[in-house]
Amino acid sequence: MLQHNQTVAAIHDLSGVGRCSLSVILPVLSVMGVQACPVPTAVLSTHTGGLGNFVFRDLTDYINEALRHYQELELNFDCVYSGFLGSEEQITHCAEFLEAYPKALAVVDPVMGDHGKPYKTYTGQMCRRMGELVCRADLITPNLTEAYMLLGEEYPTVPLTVSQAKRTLVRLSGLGPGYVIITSVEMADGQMANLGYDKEKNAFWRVDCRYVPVSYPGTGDIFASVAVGALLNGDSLPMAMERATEFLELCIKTTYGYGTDPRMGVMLESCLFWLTKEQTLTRYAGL
Amino acid sequence: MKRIVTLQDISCVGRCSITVALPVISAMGVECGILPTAVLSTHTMFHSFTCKDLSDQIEPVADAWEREQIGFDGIYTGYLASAGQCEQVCRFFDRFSTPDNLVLVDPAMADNGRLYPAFDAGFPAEMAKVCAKADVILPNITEACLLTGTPYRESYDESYIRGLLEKLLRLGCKTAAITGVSFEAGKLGVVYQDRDGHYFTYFTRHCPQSFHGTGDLYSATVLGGLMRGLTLGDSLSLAADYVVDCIEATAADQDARWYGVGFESQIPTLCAMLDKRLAEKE
Repeated sequence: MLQHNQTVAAIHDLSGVGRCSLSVILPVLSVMGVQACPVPTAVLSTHTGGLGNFVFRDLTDYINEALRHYQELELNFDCVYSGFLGSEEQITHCAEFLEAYPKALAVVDPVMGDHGKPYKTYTGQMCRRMGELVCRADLITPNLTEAYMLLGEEYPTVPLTVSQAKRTLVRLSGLGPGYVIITSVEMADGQMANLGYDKEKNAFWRVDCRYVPVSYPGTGDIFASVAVGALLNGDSLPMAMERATEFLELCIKTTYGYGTDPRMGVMLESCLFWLTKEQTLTRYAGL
Repeated sequence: MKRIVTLQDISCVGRCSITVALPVISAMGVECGILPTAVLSTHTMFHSFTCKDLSDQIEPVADAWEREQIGFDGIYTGYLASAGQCEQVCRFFDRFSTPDNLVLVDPAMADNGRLYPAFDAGFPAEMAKVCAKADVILPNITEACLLTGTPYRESYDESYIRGLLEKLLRLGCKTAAITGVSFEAGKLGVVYQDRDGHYFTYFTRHCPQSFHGTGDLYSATVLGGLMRGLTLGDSLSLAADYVVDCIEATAADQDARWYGVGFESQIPTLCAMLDKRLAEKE
């Protein structure tokens, strides 16, 4: 019997060089056996993180035209997965896409900021609109900065206790999504962890991370796309979190070892084989 | 790790062009930069697709890369939509090709004896200029005929194909391959010849089904093989085996003719075949 691929509409920008957004999402999902259909929101020469004066073509008007075409073809998607959105209008179009596929797993990676601060181009109005998009999601994958931006709270200056972490997860799920993952959270016990919450089961999860002290572009996209692929392939929430964490650790460790220019992202290509292999996932724990 | 750049369109649904090249080349362990020439909601065999032309991005993107001294070990071009894009791609080659890197051109423009309807009769001459700058070109028989002004024949023998290879080499490329060649019923394959007169053939099972995007899948796999250090012959045979695997894995699906082959599920096989050929080389 033929097994139909799971299909994902991936609404993200497309950077030509620098390994982020669709350039990492497409390979990750494909290697996991999932058909990735890109919906590019913009085309860039490189990502915006330190590779000089990039050039950029906005494709905001493309999003709706593509959606209309897919509806006309009666195309179905098993998942709609969005990432960085560059304007209020793009967020609106993304919401329309999610609305058009109510049965699809809706994954919103609310890319808005990092290290306690919103990205320079991110306005308060965009942040509010992102909040509306998050309401429609089944899964969100903010980092801690984005989590607090969504909740409209001050970014914490000290590591999180377990009870603070749980409260944050629950409050985020209160916005709408049944699954919440918060990435790279500094915990009071000294660990860096990825945290998860399954609202229906009222279950809290954590996967401690072993990262290195270098920051690379595209790692959030890699984490979220592995989690998406894993859930579509039948992983439980903690398994998906662990698969994504371990894969990212492998990518980062490999790159760190080779000492390549961090601006060029992680050596994803050397690591993709890991996603094709059966893995024993036992690191996750209850929070 | 080797880094390549591919210049072609990105057709978002229908598994062809960059949508196939990016995952396949990445899965083969090669960093894949992209310079999309257009964004299409589906490939052009679907009705009323939406298309955003990005021809005007090619030069500014090239400028941005040059400023940052971003270079490539391989440059791979696929479907180009116009004479203007062919010209821009030639200029890109002039800026980014070096004595050490490899230029692979898949002159995707025709099949089954016919130029794709989007092109006028003058287009093959423009594509021939792109091919002239290549290290390796990968036309099918129809494209080889159009590039060289040779009458297309449904039935042919080996001398006809060898004649085509000779004429392709006269375009200026270093090595000419022709895909979709058959000298024997039930067998389909690829041949190549280089300027030193080295001639190579590889044949595998002929799949009766035809799927959109398999040419792009083929070329991307060839490039991945070359970048990993396989010989051209090994790269061509690897790509042929992978495409046949993908077709056979997809054959039962009626929709697939339009939506392309399920290359994703066969990536582990591709990686295993690549590793095997790399090991044999050592």
